[in-house]
Amino acid sequence: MVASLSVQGLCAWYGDRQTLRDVAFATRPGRVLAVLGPSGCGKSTLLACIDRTLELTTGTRWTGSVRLGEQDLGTLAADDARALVGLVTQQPCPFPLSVLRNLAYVPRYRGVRGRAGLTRIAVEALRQVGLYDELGGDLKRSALTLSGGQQQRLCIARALTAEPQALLLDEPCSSLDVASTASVEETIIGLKDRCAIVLVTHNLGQARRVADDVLCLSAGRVAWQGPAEELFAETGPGAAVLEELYS
Amino acid sequence: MALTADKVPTRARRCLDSVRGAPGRLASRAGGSPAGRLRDRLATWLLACLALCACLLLGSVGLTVAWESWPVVTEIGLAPFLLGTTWMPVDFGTGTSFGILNFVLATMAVSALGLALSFCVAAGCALFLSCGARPSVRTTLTSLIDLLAGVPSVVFGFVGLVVVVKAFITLGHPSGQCVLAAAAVLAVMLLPYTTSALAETMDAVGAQCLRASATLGVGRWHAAYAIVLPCALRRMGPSLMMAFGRAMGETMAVMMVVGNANLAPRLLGKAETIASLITLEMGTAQAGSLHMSALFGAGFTLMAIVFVVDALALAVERRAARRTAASDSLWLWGRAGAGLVRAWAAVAAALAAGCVLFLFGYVFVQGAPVMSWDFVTQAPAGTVLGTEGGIAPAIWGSLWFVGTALVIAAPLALACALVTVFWLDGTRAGRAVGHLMAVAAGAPSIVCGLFAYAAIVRGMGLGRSVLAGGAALAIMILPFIEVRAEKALRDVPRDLLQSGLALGCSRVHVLRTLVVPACTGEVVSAVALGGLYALGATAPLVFCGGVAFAPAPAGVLQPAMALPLHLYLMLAQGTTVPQVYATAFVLMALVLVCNLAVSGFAAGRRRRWLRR
Repeated sequence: MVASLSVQGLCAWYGDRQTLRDVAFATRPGRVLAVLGPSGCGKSTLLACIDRTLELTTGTRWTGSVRLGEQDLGTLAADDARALVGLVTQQPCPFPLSVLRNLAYVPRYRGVRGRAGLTRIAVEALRQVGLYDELGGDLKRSALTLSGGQQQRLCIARALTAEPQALLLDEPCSSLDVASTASVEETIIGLKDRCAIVLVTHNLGQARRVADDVLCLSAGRVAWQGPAEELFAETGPGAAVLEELYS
Repeated sequence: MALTADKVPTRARRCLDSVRGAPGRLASRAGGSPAGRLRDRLATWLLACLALCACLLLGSVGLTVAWESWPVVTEIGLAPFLLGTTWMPVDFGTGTSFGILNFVLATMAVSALGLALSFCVAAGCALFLSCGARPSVRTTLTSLIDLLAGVPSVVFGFVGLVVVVKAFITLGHPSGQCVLAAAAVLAVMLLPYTTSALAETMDAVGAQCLRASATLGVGRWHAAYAIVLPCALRRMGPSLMMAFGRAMGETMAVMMVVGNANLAPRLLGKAETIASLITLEMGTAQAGSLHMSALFGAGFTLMAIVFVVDALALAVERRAARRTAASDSLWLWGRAGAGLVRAWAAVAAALAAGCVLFLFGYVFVQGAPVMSWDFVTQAPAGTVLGTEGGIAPAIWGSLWFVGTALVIAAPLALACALVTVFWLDGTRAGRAVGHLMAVAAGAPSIVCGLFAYAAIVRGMGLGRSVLAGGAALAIMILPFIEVRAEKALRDVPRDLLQSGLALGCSRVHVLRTLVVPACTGEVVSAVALGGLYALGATAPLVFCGGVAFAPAPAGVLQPAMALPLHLYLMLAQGTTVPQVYATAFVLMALVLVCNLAVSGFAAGRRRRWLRR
């Protein structure tokens, strides 16, 4: 079941310092929303609020509404909310386990038993990110022996095994080379029909290639939002917006 | 908190700026003038000589003990010595016999059982600290458990005698002293080492994995059970082996509780470890006799076993570092397993904290009523020495022993650390020194006493003296200080040294003006902790410098009392009057206060350096 992701009046604080101010946007399956903005504008904090991982850091708080379809994520237990929204961080973090165990981690937690069932889930997830053929079907291989790009795609696949209704990607390619970045971008485009995707990126070219919609943040506020083609059009407000953001 | 490169203190920047901006003064700077160059060369040679002395001293410990043991090989034979079970040093008409098999087995049995008991609690406690505790709880519990590391071995033995042995008697054991009782006491002693080693391993695995697991909507304890625990279990082998080596070298606490009978070790039976054998019989063995050689042989055997265990641990650690971890999770019982692990971690943490609070609380409550100014300023008295009067000569004696040990060990250890980090880093010689220090750090303290006895008491003919006892303690604490000082020097950002060298300053000058001041707090802390370690040591003093009664010493060639030895001798006489508790109270209070002072000094020094 897929659902739209909508955020209303989102504010966040680290101690006394407010990092997000009344952020609001909406996205749906079939669209990739890219979040752009200078360093420190609150992009990662935005994802952490949606995914409820901000609460893992002491001294933080957030207010506002984050809804996945009709479900208000703020009213759920943190673990349950995180189960509905997948987050892939900037630095790939595969568990020091085999590829199979990495992908079987969440299904086993949810009660799936039997090696055949777990293997099927793992293979399906790997195919979705285009990694199954690359690994030659070797699921017993240690996840730590994969390349950076492969590890990042493994992390995306692992997030997919949780069957999230929205997928959040926090600069997933920042530590990857050009070839790995291309493979991850291809994966993101291939997944957008499955669930709503929010992609935080510094890379304007990547946003241009991958995004359908763009949300620009500046000093914790929404500076601009709209279709990507409008932002990156040769004529229009895009150039001024980007210049203001990154000057 | 590590000193990061972006926090180069203002004082360091001023030093660099002054060298950069004042070319006229460059010639007068160290390394820029002939006098400066000569000074640097002399300093470098001095450091090299001191480092070499440190390595030779540690190396000579093994050689000396081996030399003194040689008659065992020639007159007894290696096989009868190592495999024989009869130990009869006095000829009652059937000849003498020196077989140490029972002692070796008892040493290994008590150590293995103690380590196993300690691990059960330490693993759960480490899991709690790493995965379950809030930062404030973690800091408090870690500090509490670390207090155990400073408690002298003789105090553990004392509490073991009055609490653990009595508990066994209450439960029906005839004497209360047995292998299990000794293992229980040893388990508590090993707790700070096993807990910190396991917590460090779990932190390395768990930091990112716990967060990644949270983003998947999986609870923290499931991640701890499924990822952190199995990965840590795979990596903890070297740490446990080092702890095993350390356990085998433990003398006083085990000796006071194990029963000391030459029997094959059984769980509820008495036994005697090698360290106990040496401590109990060195005082009665005739100098130069086969009995004494056999005791040295036993010490060499213990040292050899510890060396092999430590060498294996290092080899396993190096091999594990080259392999990529790819363990499979233990998820045998799913969520129920995670629940069990969580309960186990909480119980273990509570048990560990309870042990510390009980130990300190028991001694303080029992000893506080006797504490008075007279007690710490008067000499001991009474028909049974120590049952009346005070402990003033023992306090002074301990300070003399520790002072002598630090005067010998600190310059050698610090020079060795400087040379290893800044001249020999990455070289074969540097690695060899590192191995030597790692192995020496695990050497039993009783072996240090044997060396000092052979080299100074008998070899130099000085008899029991502060110098002999201080030398024994110095050998014991030298690797302790060196390892910590080396770590402190390595934590200083390399950029500081490279920036200074890039400006044309000599290495010695940059070390003196930039690097060492950046870690002075930690280095002084290492030296002070070494002193505290020496303060609580008993075994090396038993036959080197410590005596049952002597006035406060006036020089290093005189014998002296020592606090831990005084406590042991009172217990050996079967005394448990309040003065005994008060002596333990003073010893633990000294350790506690000095520990706090050292930590505060190091933290304050770091803050001051960063503010300049």
